[in-house]
Amino acid sequence: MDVCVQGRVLSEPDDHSEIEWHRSDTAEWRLSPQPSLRSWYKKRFLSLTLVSQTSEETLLETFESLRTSWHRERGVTSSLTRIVNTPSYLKIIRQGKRFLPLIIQDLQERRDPDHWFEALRQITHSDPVDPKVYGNYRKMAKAWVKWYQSQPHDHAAR
Amino acid sequence: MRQGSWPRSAFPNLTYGDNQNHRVTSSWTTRYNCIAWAADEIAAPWWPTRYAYWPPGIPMMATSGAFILAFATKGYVQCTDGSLQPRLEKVAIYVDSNDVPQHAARQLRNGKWTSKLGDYEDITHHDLLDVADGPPPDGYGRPKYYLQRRRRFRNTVRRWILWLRIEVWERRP
Repeated sequence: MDVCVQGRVLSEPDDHSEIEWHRSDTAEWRLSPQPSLRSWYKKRFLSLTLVSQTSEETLLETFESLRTSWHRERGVTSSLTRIVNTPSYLKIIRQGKRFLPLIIQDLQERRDPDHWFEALRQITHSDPVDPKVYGNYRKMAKAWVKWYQSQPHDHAAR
Repeated sequence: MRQGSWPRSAFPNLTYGDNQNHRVTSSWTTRYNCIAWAADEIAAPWWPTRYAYWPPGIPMMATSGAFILAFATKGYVQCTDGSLQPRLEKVAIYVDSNDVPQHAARQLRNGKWTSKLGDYEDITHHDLLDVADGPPPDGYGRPKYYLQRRRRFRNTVRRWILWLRIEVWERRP
């Protein structure tokens, strides 16, 4: 999992065996309290306390940053396969439902919806879009917005 | 002259300013892509993937063969080059070094070409190579396959009706 620190996204360390995350009651992701791991962590990340989500502002900032990177990475290609396989797009997917409200908001606000549908499907494991309207981005966006509004708030928010 | 919003480094052969070799003819949009635009469709992007339109019965593969078959559903047959022939409407499919389609352009009545540049604007350009040779991985490669169909007035009328339907009817409050 990637972790947000002050709006920046840090990639997960390659060696999964050395690090252990746990989720506290305050919905923050922190390192395992085990002393050895904490020391390992401090050495590498300069004693920063990583917090996955501290505020809505940070979340928005991170989302905007990833979205901008995604637009830059996809360049001028027309390949929809390539568009949804850029590193930033995959990072957005790995953030899970945290970005869901922002993605839905983006679908609602844009005149021509962006290519969020693959991300939404992977994040939510749902697909409310009728295959008959595949390709019609406006109708697909409406289907997702309707689906999102029909979800319980807690589920939608996180 | 109106300027496009695409990154200029993506198209090393496009020129700007006094010697501009292209004209921007639309706003940017994600509603359709270059393949759809070349096939005269603006309601959905064409690509062999989920969430895009791909003609029924055509293999869902990003290969030149599948793309030629996709255009065949719109009446196109393969031809040898992109030279201007008055009664024929031509399409050029650009492929990369692995023969994977990257772009398509449609020939206009005056011999110029029209291209949709990714999610950016449509342009009219003088030559097929104007949008070729972009740096990988986003470069469009070079035009390799040419298709043609009879140029019909009804296709032009259909294009305008489709545009009105999308821009006026579907946008009504």
